[in-house]
Amino acid sequence: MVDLLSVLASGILVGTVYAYMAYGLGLIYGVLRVVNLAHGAFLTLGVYVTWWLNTTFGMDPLVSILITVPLGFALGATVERTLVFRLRDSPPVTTLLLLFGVWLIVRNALYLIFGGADRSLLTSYSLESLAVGPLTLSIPRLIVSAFSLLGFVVLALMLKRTWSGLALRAVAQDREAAALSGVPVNRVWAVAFGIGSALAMSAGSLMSLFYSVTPEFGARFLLKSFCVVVLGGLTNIGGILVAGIGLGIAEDLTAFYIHTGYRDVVSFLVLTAALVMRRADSD
Amino acid sequence: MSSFTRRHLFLGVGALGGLALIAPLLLANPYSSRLAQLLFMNVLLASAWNLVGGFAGQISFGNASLFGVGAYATSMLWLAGFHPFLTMPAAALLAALYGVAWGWPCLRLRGPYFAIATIGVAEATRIVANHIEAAGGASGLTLPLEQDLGPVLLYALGAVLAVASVLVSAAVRRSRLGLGLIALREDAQAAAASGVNVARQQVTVFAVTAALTGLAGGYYAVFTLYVVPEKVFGFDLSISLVLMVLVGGIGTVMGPVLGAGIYLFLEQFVLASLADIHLAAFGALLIFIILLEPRGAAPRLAQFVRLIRRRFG
Amino acid sequence: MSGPAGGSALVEARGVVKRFGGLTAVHGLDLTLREGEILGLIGPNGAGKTTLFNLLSGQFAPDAGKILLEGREIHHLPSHRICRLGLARTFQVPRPFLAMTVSESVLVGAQFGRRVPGTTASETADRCVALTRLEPRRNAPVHSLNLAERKRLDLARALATRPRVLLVDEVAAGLNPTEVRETVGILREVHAAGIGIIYVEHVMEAVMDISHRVHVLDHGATIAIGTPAEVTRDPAVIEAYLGRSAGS
Repeated sequence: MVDLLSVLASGILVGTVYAYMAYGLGLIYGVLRVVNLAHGAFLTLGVYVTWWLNTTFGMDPLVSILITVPLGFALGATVERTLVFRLRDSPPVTTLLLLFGVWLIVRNALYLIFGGADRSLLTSYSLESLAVGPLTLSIPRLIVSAFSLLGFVVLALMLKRTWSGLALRAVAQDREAAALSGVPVNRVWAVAFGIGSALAMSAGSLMSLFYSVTPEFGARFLLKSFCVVVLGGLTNIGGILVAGIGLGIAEDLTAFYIHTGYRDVVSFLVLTAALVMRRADSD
Repeated sequence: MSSFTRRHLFLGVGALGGLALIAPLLLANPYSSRLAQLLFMNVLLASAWNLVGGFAGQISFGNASLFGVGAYATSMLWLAGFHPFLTMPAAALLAALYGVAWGWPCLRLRGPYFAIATIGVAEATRIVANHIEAAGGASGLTLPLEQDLGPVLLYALGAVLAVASVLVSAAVRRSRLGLGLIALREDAQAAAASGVNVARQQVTVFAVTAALTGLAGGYYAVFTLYVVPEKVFGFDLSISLVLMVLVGGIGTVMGPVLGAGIYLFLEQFVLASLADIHLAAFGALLIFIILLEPRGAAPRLAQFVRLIRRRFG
Repeated sequence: MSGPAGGSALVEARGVVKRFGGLTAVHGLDLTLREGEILGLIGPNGAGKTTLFNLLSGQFAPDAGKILLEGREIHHLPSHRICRLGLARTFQVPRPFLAMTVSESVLVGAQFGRRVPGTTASETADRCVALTRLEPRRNAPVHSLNLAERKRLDLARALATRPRVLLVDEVAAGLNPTEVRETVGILREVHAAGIGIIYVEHVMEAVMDISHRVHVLDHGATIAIGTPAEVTRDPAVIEAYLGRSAGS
């Protein structure tokens, strides 16, 4: 019973991070109808930047969010302005391949700069834990989970209450109608790609607290992100949160009761099953 | 519409004859015969991928799962005492079965959704393969070196498989199946309203794709004598196929052949000298093709050939 | 044109309902197309005409009710099966296969449509290309066709499936008067070949000109059925059209 409870608790904590990590992918898809295969690159980049700031300047990973958010925004908006923008009227699969090219280049750059070795960082609270009744909860996971939830609230408020949020939602619903109503669609696209990438990079900052990183880091989490957004309904904030937590729990249950090695198989199978059941028609 | 004409058969025999004539050249040393083997394998893989990716417009990032099944089928049957040639049909059949098993549900998806689902299936397959102890687990299987078929037989087998895959591709292109595939690629709903059974057409062609990809896996096992999950089920392999076809010309019969050759050249002679930045070079190539030459080299080449003909013919 | 009064039913919809989320697009609709008949289907924008076509041709499944083709239930069948049983359609906005030539596109219908012994697919395709006056463009790539040609290509592709029933969706909209006359002429030839037609159209001259009966929809329900002359005098019809168009 205690086993099951602690598996559930850890699943929920990691699930909130999954949701936060995936949200950028959903946002970009919602506004641009583009599947951002470079999402994994931004995640990985976020972890490395955080690691570098920590090991070089001793900066706390949570503080480094102040850097990864604007940096992610700038990089994302640049990728949109220089590359994605050119393919706005092409079939979605071509953009997917283009962004895969971006991912390869980033991966290679990371190998050149940081090498292929596992990098991980340690903070004063990395190994702390908190006893809640019979459960022991890891402090960094609690913090990261809280930050993810906070990020979600900020984002939800932004989309609901601000002009840019309104513009984003307008373009997501109907690009042509939005353009006719005077929404600067080009700028909205760049902004959406920027926000999506900022979310991914800051998710990297959070994840650096309990994952080590290699340049291959992004692949695994890109697929988990797909899984979450497809399950949760692409742009639906609440759905994505629930899906993230659901995936977290399913993975931890598999790892605990079946085999640790099959943890990732769950997300792939859930991903495929979810896609097929939705029968989402794209074109 | 005549599906498989005598002309095709003639061209096929001609191609095999040509390959036989230049065989002594390519079999001169181990390196050049390895290049020939890789080229045959790439042609087989790229033509197979193009059947579903080019004609039906369903981009798969998961063909490594089919390649791996073929490679393991051949390896395990060979280790069980069957002659490598006899393992080939089994490799094709098992890969086709596996392809239909996951293609049947996934092909109901279209566009990027299908592409993502294929990544999910292939990665799940790779992880599971790493855990199957009966198949050697993560360390894979080593095949009996003393039973190596030798360069001549491997060359002949590869040549036959590669030429056959191009002929299959040409036959499909000109058949009722091919017409239906292009119709559903252009507009699935309108195709269905014209009587095309969209699901059946896609699954049928995917079974062919899977069988050919499984044959490529079997061939790979036979000439490398070593299969390991991270390689034969790897994502890099799936991606390289997409790149080959894009470079050569998607949706054409000769594009994949051209692309397989260009890819091999790049991989062996250009990227090898750029070891440190070969991923970035691939990425840049991909971006370059998509932005500047999305139809690949084949249409350009056809243009060039027409120009030459007009000038000299 | 004389109306075949007592012909047996080719297509019958009984109590068909279709909802999209909270919106009910078609409310328990009954509709009959008789043997040898051209049935006009009209109604203001959003009346449910195109939804009804999508239901008849199997693009959507109805939430309730039955659809019969020559007495056989088809509402649970996928599009391609319905097409092979003899019900073909055109689209409001033509949906050509852009990578093909005209004759290849028509061949798709001929190869995959209803099988009729004694004719080959390419003969059928040639006949349909000729019937729709696309002969001069037969080897042209589809993307080079203009709107009128694309509409006729949709028609040719549908006819090549050798239907018993043809659903025609706004084939005259956006065309000039000469093109409209030509299209109406083609539909007459189709009818003369024994094919039943349900014809959705906003261009009133065209639909009133060739329909034997007219079925009027509004808000997904029937408001009138009758000969063109009866329908145009019907107060409910006038109300539905004028009431709405006065506002827009």
